[in-house]
Amino acid sequence: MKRKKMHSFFKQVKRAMFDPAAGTDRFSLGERSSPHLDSTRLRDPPEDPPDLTGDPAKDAEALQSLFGAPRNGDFLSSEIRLTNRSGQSFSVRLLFLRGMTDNRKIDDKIVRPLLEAALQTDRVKPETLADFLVHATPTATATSHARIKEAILDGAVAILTPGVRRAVLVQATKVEHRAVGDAKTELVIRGPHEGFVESLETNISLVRKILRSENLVTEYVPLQEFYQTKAAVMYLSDLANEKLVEEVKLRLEGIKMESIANTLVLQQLLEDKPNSLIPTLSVTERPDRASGAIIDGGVIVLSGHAPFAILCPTTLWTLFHTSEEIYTRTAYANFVRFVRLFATFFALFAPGVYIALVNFQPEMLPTDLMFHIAGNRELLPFPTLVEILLMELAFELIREAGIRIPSVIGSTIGIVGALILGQAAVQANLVSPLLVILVSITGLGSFAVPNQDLAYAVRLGRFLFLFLGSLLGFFGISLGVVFMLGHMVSLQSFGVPFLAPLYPHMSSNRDFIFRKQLWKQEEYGQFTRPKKLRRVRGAIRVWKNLWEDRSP
Amino acid sequence: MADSCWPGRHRGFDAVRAAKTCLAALLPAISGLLLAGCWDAHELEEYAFVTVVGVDVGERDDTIRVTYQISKPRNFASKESATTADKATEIVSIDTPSLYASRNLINAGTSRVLTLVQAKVLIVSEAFAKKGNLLLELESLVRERDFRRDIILITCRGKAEEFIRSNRPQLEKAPYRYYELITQTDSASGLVPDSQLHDFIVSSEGGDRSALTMLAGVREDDDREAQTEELDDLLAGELRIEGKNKVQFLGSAVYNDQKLIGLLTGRETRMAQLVRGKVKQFNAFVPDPEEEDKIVALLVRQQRRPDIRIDPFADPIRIDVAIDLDLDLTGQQNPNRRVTSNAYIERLQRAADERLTKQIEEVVRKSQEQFRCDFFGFYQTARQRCFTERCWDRVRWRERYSDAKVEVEIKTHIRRTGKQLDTVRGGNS
Repeated sequence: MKRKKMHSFFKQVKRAMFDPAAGTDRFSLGERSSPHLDSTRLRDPPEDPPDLTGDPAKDAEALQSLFGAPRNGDFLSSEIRLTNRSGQSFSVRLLFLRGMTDNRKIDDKIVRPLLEAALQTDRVKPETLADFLVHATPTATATSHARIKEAILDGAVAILTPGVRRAVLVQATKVEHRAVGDAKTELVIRGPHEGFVESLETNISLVRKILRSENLVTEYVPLQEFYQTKAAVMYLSDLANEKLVEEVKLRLEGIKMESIANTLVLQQLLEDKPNSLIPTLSVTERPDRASGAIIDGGVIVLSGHAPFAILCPTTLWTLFHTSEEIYTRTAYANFVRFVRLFATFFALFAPGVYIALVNFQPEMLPTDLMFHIAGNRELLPFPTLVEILLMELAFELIREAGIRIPSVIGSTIGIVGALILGQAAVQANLVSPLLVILVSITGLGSFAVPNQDLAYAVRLGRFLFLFLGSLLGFFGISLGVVFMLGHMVSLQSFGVPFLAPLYPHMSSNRDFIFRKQLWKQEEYGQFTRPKKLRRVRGAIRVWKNLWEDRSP
Repeated sequence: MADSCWPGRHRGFDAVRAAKTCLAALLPAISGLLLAGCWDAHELEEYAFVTVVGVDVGERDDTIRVTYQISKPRNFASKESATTADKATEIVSIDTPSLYASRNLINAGTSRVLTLVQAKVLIVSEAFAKKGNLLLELESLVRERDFRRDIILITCRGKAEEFIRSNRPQLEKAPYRYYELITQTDSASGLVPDSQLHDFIVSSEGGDRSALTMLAGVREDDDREAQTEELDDLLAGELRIEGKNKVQFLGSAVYNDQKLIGLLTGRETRMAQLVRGKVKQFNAFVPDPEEEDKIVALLVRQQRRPDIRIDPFADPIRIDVAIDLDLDLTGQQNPNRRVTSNAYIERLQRAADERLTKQIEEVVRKSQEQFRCDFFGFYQTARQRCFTERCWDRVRWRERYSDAKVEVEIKTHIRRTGKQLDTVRGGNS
């Protein structure tokens, strides 16, 4: 192997954090051509060589061994003897998986029609039998073992008839999953409450229900060889940038990993910069948010294994917004956003700023407050840094324990947490009471961050800024902020800059920290490079204009 | 290397190179941190925070006597019960050739490093201020980074050390807060000037290089009987207030070229502050225009800035001061008068105009004849008439100010007469 030239450390850091070559060697949604998108698919659809012999018993044998039956008790192959009016009979074989199929469906859709069809004819031929079914229910045919295997794994029933060298596949899928309920991680007070579930069909229907448009396209991308699942890619064909769609599909196809194709795993595998602290892809549990992303010219990825949709691309604003702000009046929504911004900043900077103030610049504190802090610190055994770390770690501990604890004994967490974090620590002269308040507010602030991934980033970032503040004071914090901003600006998500459309500046509804009135949001954000510029031609509130025309 | 048992080796993993890379990564990171910081992190409990600094003339000619009042943080802890201010502080004094050295010397007896980052008050004694250039003497203090310009500068009669030791605020835990509050309340009514170090520096470096500071004093027990017509025409320490705390703030010290040249009483200070437009409101007395022996009490509010017009090119310099004041009638002693009558209000306004005009003119005369310096800040207005520095130099403000012709015109408007239409009468009215 040719030895790679080792870059200097600074070059490595620069490359890792700021991507100096951002303009040239990365995927871009712009005019620049992306040769890799024009290339053929990474994986061809499985071919369909004629493997079947036309002897059902033999073919069933072959497929059985493929599934490890008879040891595998879930693979069922049942023989149905069909008799026509003249008493002739022959038998067909049904192959299907228990647990993927619905017995009633098999009875209603396959067995009964077959029996009836046989009885109605005098001289039924095996090859015409399939035609009866074709008229009865949605079916497909296949001739190769591989295709049949896939269909069976998807919950189809394969029907083998003697003398015919193809199998008829009838969908009789029935998979158990949770019923549609509340979105558990993204609760709102006002707005729809339903959330995605662990079923691809249901999830797709939840989105389709909202966007009833002929342009809403769902493309199924087969994932990985092993546990064959499909991911669904949904977008508006008259809006979404084709390059974006292609890139999403290409990345999905280009994943080769033997694992469960859970949406949350996919999210990590699709990301542009998985090593960054800041998430560059986000997921949502809410169909309305997913639809909103589609309407913004984005693409969503769904799979049947987790109640989430991946939003491609994701910007900082995606992470910062919730759907609630669209459902509340502008002034209220902006107030909430402001509170959330404050919370985020507090969660990120409060401990760092506190330690910078107390250890480096006590003259910046009001005298009374400073003496208050100093007076409470008189009896404490630890330096400020250790004090904060203790409290922060205790808080993280309570948070983690609160998630892991069985709900039966969950109430103890609150008691223990309040006692440890609050009274006992102060009473035992381990921490100063002011710090308890600081850490509590910091904790609350990090709970207020709407996106889970961003909340993690903020929690980790808090420790970074805490160390910077304790090492270098405000100089350190400003250093950290500069690096953080530089890093954020150089991030991309599916070719979209992370801070777009604020930076780089481009046409959009200016919905960043604060949003305008809904009836002033007339544009499509251009950061996804959609095919359209404006959502509406003319005004949104047409009635208003009518009103003004009528007034003298 | 090919037949090693290390997993991953077949991929060209090289432990040495990896170690080098790690080292190459760590070195700049660590050295960057080491070289960038000032490493001046200190815990609060390592410091002794000085809140009040007093400066006196030293025992020898080449020394000064510095007094530091150090607040004890323990008294601010949430669990401590309230203590009085004198118990909450530690006062140390030392004779020293230089201010800067004094703090190290004090460390001989104090366990913690003295720091001035939270110093709030600087008190200089009259004797020290008369000695010469105040800021030059205190240069090291003012030059220091942690000595802030929003510190309160007080000139005190007698010794600063005694003043600090005898200040026993009864309402506050913290002496510095006492100073802060008293300067706020006091300067709002104009009895003391605004007295931040910053103001002092700005005006003593300004066109006339004269400045005012607050005047403080300790009431003597053999109370000097100061017989004046009005109670506010006194200096700090002369007012008879019975109480535990004998410290008083009243009047101002006049500095020219950063040297103390004289004192102003409370009322004179108030008039000077009126001209400077810095008074919020105060209570005044005017003899009843219809009966000389009765007094009318008024609340005076300065709602608008005074209108000062100056012609520095005239000979003598012409200064016109027009001050607009709002009055509220707060009390009067005549049992049968309708204060709401327009005629009476007119006469009352005229009486107030005359009285205030007279008082202001007295102060102006004092500034021109006795002190020969413009502590009203007139020069700021005068300078606006000059476009160039050379032009201003030709005005020779400092020399010609004392001969300037100053016209003071006060217009008062009585806005409210209170809730009573009629005078309160005893018995069955």
